[in-house]
Amino acid sequence: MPCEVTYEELSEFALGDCEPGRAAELAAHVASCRECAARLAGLERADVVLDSFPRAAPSAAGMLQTRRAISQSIDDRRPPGEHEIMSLEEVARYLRISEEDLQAIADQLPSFEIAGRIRVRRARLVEWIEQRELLQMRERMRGELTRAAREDDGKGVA
Amino acid sequence: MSDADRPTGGLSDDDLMAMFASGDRDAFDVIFDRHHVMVYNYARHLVRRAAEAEEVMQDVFLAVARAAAVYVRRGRFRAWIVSMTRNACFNRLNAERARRETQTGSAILMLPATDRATVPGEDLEAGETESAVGAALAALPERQREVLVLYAIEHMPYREIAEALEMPIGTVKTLLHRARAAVARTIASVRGEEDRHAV
Repeated sequence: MPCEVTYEELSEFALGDCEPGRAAELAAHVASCRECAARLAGLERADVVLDSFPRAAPSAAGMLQTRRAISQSIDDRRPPGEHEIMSLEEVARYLRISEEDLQAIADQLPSFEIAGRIRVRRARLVEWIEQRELLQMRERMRGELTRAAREDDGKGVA
Repeated sequence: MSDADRPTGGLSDDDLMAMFASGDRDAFDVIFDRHHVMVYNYARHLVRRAAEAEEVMQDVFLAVARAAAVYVRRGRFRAWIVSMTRNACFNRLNAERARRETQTGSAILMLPATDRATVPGEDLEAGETESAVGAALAALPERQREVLVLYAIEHMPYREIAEALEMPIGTVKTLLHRARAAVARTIASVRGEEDRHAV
C-alpha cells in the first residue's frame, strides 16, 4: 500500500508546524508506518548535521581589508578639522586663532607641501603643541627662578 | 525584542548603533564582531565564492556605518542587516547572470557544491553525511537555501527570517520544509536507504 505522506509534511510535523489535528494523525501514522518512521529519523539526522554545520568564516586578509575600509570610511565622514591631514584653515580653526595669526607662525608649523598646498598632519600638530607647552613651561620656570635669585641677591645686599 | 537584540553584554545592537551615531567608533567594532560571521556565512551560501562573499561583507558594513545617522531603533537590527546582505548578494548574482547571458546565450555555470571530505576507513559515516548535507544545501534553489541557512545554521526565528526576506511567515515555513525534505532525501540516498515513498 503506497504511503501518501510527504517528506515536507513529516518536516512540518517534526518542527511542530502542522495543525494540531493533523499532528495527531501523523503521530499515529508514524507509529505504524516503518518507512515514515525511518524518514522522520532521517530528518532528525539532518537537523543534527545542520545544527553543527560549519559556518564559513572570512579570511584574515578579507577581515583586514574590511576593517580598513570601514575605518577609512568613518574618517572620511568626520567633520572638517578632524581629518588626519589638515589644511592651514583647519589648523587655524583647531588652534582657535585667526588665519592671519597662523600665517605669522606658519614657518614654525610641522607642515609639508603637496601639489602646491601646505598640509599638516594632525598627529604631528598635536606633538608640536605638546613641545610648545613644555618649552613655555620651562621658560616660565626659568623666569621664576631668575626672579627668586634676584630677590635673594637683593636681601643679601641689604 | 528578540534574544539577539538583547545579548549578554547588556547593550543591544540598537544601543550600539546610537552610540556609533554619536561618535563612538568602538561601538561599531562591537557591531562588526557580533555580526560579520553571520553576514559572511549567509553571503557565502548565496554568492558561493569566498572573495565575493568578502566583498559583500565589506559593502554591507560600509552601508551600516553610512546609515547609522538615520538608523531608526526598532529592535530589528539583525533582520535589517540580513536584508541588506541579501540585496547585495542578489545585485551581484543578477549582474553576473545578465553578463553570462549576453556572453554565452543560456549556458548554466555549475559551481562546485562542496569539497567532499575523503575520510579513509570505517569512519566514513559522519564525514559522508556532512558533505552530503553540504552538497544538498548547495543544490537547493536560492530561496530554499537562504531560508534553511538562516533557520538551521544561523538559528533565526521564523518572524525574523520573514522580516529580513520580506515574505509572509507561511512562505518561510513552506520554503523551509521543502529544503529540509530535500536535504533528508539526500542523506537517505547517501546512506543507501531506498526511498520507495511517493514524493
